[in-house]
Amino acid sequence: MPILSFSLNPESLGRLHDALVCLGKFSESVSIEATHDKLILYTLNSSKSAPQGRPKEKFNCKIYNKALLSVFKGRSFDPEKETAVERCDVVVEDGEGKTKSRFIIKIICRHGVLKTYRLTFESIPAMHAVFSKESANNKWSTSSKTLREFIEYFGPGTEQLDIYAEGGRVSFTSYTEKVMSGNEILKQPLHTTIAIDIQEFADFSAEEKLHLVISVKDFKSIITHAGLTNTMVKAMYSRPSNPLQLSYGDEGLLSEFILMTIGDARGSSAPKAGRASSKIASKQPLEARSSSKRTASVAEMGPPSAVAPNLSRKVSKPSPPPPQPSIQSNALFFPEADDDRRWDPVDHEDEDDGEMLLWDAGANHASSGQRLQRLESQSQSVNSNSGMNVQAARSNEYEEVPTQRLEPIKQVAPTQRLSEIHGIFDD
Amino acid sequence: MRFKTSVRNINTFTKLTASLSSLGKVAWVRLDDDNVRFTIIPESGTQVWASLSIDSIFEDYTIQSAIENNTINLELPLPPLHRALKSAFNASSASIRLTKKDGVPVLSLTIITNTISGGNNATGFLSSANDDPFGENFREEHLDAGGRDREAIVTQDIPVRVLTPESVEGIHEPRVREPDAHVLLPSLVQLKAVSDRFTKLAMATGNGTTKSGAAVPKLELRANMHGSLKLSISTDALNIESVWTGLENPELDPGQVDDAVEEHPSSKLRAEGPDAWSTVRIDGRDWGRVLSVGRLGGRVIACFVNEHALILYVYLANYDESGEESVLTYYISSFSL
Repeated sequence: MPILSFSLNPESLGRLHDALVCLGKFSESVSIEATHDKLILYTLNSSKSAPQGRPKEKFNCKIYNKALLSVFKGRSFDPEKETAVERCDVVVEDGEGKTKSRFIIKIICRHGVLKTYRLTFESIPAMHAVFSKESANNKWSTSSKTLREFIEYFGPGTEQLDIYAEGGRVSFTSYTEKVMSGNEILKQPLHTTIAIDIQEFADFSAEEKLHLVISVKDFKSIITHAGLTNTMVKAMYSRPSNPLQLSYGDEGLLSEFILMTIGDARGSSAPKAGRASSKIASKQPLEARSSSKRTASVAEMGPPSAVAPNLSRKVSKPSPPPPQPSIQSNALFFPEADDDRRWDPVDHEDEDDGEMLLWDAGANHASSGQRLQRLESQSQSVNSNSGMNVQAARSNEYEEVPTQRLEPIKQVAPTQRLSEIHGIFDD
Repeated sequence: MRFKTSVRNINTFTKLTASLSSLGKVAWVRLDDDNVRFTIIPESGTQVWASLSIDSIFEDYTIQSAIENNTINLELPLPPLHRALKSAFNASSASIRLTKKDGVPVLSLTIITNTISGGNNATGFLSSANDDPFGENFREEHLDAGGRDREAIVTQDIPVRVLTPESVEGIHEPRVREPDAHVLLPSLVQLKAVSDRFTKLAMATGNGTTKSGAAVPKLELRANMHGSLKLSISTDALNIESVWTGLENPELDPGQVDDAVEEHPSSKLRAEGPDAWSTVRIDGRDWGRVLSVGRLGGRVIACFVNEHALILYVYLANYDESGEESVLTYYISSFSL
């Protein structure tokens, strides 16, 4: 008897994947919390600063994020593709008696191919970061696309991001506190400041002359995810060395991040946060939480054998196509950028793995995608519509299709890997 | 000491730094009243001496120092400079000045750029998306161009070291004897593609010690004074060669040579006919990095000093006819057999 089951359509699956990628940048495990109308994915970074337990009346579990990601990685959510995913069913069974405790993900692809993944999970009570909206009297919000552009300017190697408003301008500064000397000074990363007019913000009501410092890496991870859709990113905070909340939502998916800010280390505007405390805070800075709330929107699918009673399934209108990433619009403006890449020196070291791929590595090395396609069409004809159950699919994908076994003599493909060159007298 | 300028041509400057940074991470930059010079002397591999007219990349150029000709010598890391310039791609204007931040000298690049999407754009979309009377839920997007552009000021600080004149006194451009052959190179895209291919093939069919670097077969480059250039590589397993013909061997300027033109080594090689070649052997990977200068689109003359060195002169298009010429000089040593 499953204790939780839900289904996702391909579009939601793609967004679930994006959310997992983002959460994966904060912690290696992801916690899942489900109630009858919400699915919440969240993660706490390893320092677990200021956690708070909650009454355990919901379903709660924790899963290794890489295991989840590898289930969805490389899947095509594009319905036009031959190998596209049609639906994803998730069932959680808990170990009463003979049933094993497993988080079971079934991915239903075209041509009746079914892939089942059974993941282990840890059942633990929820731990959430605390953020008090009441005391957060500073607020601003701006377009995710604008912020997405900004993070492009921050070079590698910096650690902190300082957000500061003064005289009608807001500046975002990425910098490092590491002090270098002598020849090392040239290795100092780029110090980048972006100053924009307050008019740039959809709304801005925050105290001026406050240095709010967070980690540049976390900001980049969040904005990279936010920038996938055209939405508004909202920031709320009270004072330096208190948490900052960044949130944004788009069509039923709400993402929230609670980041610890470092006390004012540079200016004198926040005397309460001394330098000593800021150092400690910088060592255990962050909490991240992303909660996603979605309604299952696959109308035509049959109900899973046992639907958990607490999951109400609403049928909604088909959603508009997922928004295009910003890179595409950039492509419109940077026509030469890609072209310039052909001038870059070839990195022979990287490519050279001892063996060289000639113009075609031969039939036996067809990419797994092609192979899968062949396998699928095969199973289609054999099993007609009954569907094929591929358990832990990957090992099966590479199995030889029977018709190809008729020829026992080793064939020499027209082109081959060097290591496979077979002299005529070698047999 | 003062240095402040606007960047006239961000694109060219970005391409220049991209090409230079493939050969070395740190450049010696000499700025003075007359020109801007970038010098890269890596521990091994090709040296570059790039001398640019001020007009080719800068305008409103101000320089002041206590040294003759208002010279300022800087040691400048190229990857951050390149990164900073790349962020100026969409800029409406960019300027550079030498300044100090927290006691550390920096080249501060100030970029005024238009953000593609103004902050208020998304609000319109969010409020209107759900009450589309036709129920089709078209995602409304704003035209990116037009009057909605908003300005952001981006400042990128690149750490630098200001060098004393004494510390750079001893650095001189290499002296090489008069070349035996000089030829205008064919399209660098083509030359780079063929060279990279040759090197890759030779590495793949080599004796398995390619990782060590020293055992990488050398590219052999040969030119005659009758418009031909040969590129070849050979290993135990293969021997490939590509030949370009109909190239131009530029005429010598009598003012530029010490002896009479007839006495010049290249005139002698020309007299020996099309089968007389001048040869150099170079490292294919290093050559690939050198050829990345092709992105600047200059005219490239290769001078062959037989069995000794290859010198490339890359002439950049001038901003105006009257200005001083911008030329990048690459010194590539030949390997002996």
